Amino acid sequence: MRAPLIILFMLLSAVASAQTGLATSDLFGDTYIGNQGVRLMKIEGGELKKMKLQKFYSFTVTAPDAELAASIESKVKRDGARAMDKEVQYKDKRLRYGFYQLRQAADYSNRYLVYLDQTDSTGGKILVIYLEGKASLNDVKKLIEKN
Amino acid sequence: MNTQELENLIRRYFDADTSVSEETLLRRELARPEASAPSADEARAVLGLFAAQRGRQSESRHRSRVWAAAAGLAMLIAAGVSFHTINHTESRTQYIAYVNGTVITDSKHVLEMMNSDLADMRCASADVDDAIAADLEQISNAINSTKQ
Repeated sequence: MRAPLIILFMLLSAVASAQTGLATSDLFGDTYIGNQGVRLMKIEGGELKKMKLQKFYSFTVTAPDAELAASIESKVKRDGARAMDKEVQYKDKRLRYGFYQLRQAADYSNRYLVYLDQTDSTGGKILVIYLEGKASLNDVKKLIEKN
Repeated sequence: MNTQELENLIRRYFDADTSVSEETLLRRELARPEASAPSADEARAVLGLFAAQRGRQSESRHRSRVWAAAAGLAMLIAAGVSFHTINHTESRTQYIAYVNGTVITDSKHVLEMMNSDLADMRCASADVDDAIAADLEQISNAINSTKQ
């Protein structure tokens, strides 16, 4: 009798795990909201539908300390390691740019993660964007290119 | 029931001449450990085997039914939750930003921020393309100089 319950639990978990299960998901939660230099943005539906997207989440931190910067980079790399498609750029052994097509969500939505590290000794910022929707890889690249 | 009567009943059972009530009586008699007759053990084995098989079949049938019901229920719930999640996600609209802890819900403002983020990404993406082009050019130059 225990096995059917385990199957049920697994099915429900799979359904519930849309953006959860990603190492970067806590960037888009409440963890850093009140921190100085942090900007968290969450857009769902509305105007995004024109872009074939359902979710646009972005996390920006200006002049992060070394520990936070390393933690963000590590989370992005962890998600990127399981990506279906990726385009990355490293400088001085640090990930500076990453574009990842992640595995589809439980509802078959496409998911993308974009990372940009512009920090240097004088400050700069780190930007992480999570996109989810029906948009194809080409759609998302076009969306970035036209801006 | 004495030994002779039991022996007769067993013989009639093997000849398929017993009625349902006689079969029940035989089963009850054979269940008593003191019941003895030359063919009692054989009858016990046959009846016991049948009883055990029936029990096992009914148990496995019951277990299959529980599995089927649980699997059906699990699929139904998963389908329901999926349907609800997809519908809920697709119909939901939200524009929200937290800047240094301050909440912004003005959609126009939030969309401007989104465009600004995308513009940053465009520059970074173009830089990567330029870097790739530069690398390819260097490789091409190296190949050409080797040929000369």
